[in-house]
Amino acid sequence: MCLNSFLQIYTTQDTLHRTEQQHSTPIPATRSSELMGIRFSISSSQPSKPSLGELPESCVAVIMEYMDPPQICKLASLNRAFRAASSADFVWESKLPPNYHLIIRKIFDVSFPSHLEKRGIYSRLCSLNTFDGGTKKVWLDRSMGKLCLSISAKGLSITYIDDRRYWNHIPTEESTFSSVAYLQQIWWFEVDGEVEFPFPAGTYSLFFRIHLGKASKRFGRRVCNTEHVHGWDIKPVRFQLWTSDGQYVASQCFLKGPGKWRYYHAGDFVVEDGNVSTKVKFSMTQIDCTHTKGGLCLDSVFVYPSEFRKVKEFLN
Amino acid sequence: MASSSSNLISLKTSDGTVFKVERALAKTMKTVQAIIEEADANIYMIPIHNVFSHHMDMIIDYYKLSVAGKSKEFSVEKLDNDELKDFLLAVHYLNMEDLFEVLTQAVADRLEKKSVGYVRKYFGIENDFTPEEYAAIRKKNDWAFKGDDIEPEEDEEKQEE
Repeated sequence: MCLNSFLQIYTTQDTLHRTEQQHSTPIPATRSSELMGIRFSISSSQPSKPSLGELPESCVAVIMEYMDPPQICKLASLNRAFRAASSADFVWESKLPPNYHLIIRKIFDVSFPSHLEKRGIYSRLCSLNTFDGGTKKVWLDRSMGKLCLSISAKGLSITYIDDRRYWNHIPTEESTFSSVAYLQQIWWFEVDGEVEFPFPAGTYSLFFRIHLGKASKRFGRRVCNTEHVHGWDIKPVRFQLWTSDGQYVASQCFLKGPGKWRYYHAGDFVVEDGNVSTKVKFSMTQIDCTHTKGGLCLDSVFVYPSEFRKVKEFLN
Repeated sequence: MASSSSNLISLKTSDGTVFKVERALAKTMKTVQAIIEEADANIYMIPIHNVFSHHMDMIIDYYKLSVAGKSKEFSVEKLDNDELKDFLLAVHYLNMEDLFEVLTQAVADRLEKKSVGYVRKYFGIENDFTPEEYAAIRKKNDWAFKGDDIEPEEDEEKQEE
């Protein structure tokens, strides 16, 4: 202990901050021994500069409420007070979608632990949660807590899917699902789907993830076979989207750019009220029977919040 | 219950300056308010530790703006990081809710997207974890960094100063 110093004991702070939780923060080793519940500073001839490391965790938690989840988790490794603040329920409650109870009820059965702290709930919802018999996945984006959803090819209604002359499910490593639907060739191309989910209020964009050509791995390298890709440059495909509250969008575009997974935008929809489930139907068709088309892999349909950066990238 | 006959409360800052403030302003400082309510006799002067006169100037500015309904015009942009830090601690000591919220938001904004090392230096925070605890908390929060666009920090200097 530095003998030239004098102690200023903030006893006034102790007796007056009754409404605040008193917290003993460990004093760094170079200073004198800790006294529980009293904060003090040592200075030579002037009062020392107070350090924010001495703020009680309740204050740190208030600061963290303004941060995004990755930042909160990063700063949890600063010291014990920050670690404690980073697990405060009110901090994480503000990051969860307002209707998270409904989301949990929809995707988990009774197995969801009922007394999980809010950070734990947030973390669980951020992983790819599978539901509807494995055909759909839903997750929160980690940094913003916004809901995303994907529907596998097996969760879609593909016309003539059972006719192996046209369509086959093939295993893949390039999807979050274990297989994609591959189209050899067909006249009547139609893919329909629907999803009913308690989307939090906001605007969402729906995409079909599609690959022209068949990819495989040969000796560890990705190889793409495009010899069966045909017909997509003759007429465009048509996208349509409907919601249970009467929204409707239709568009068309040509599929192009073999050899890469591409996201084709089917449309946007708006959810006003997160307290009810929204039902969305969508379809992708090319049913001009004067020409065949084929050589296409259909992975899944994605629903993302429209404000996502990657959505803006897909749209360009 | 102590009561002051005048409507002004005298507050003495750490650097010895005396401010005479309206009761209404003193009421926004829960710390000061508690001192007034607990005193047995009239208080002539309330010392406020760790609050300097330049802090009181800003507090009075904020008070005047919020009384006029213009609290959104209050800005701490001109303060550097240390000054903002000190001001936050002063307001925290005085237990002033609204202004505290404004300042915590300002601090959070300045920390946005900054690395752990930067924050450690900025706050002067010492790492009080054992190496095992540190490793455990890093691992526990790993989930926040998975997925696109988010990279965890390269491991910070974990030294004990």
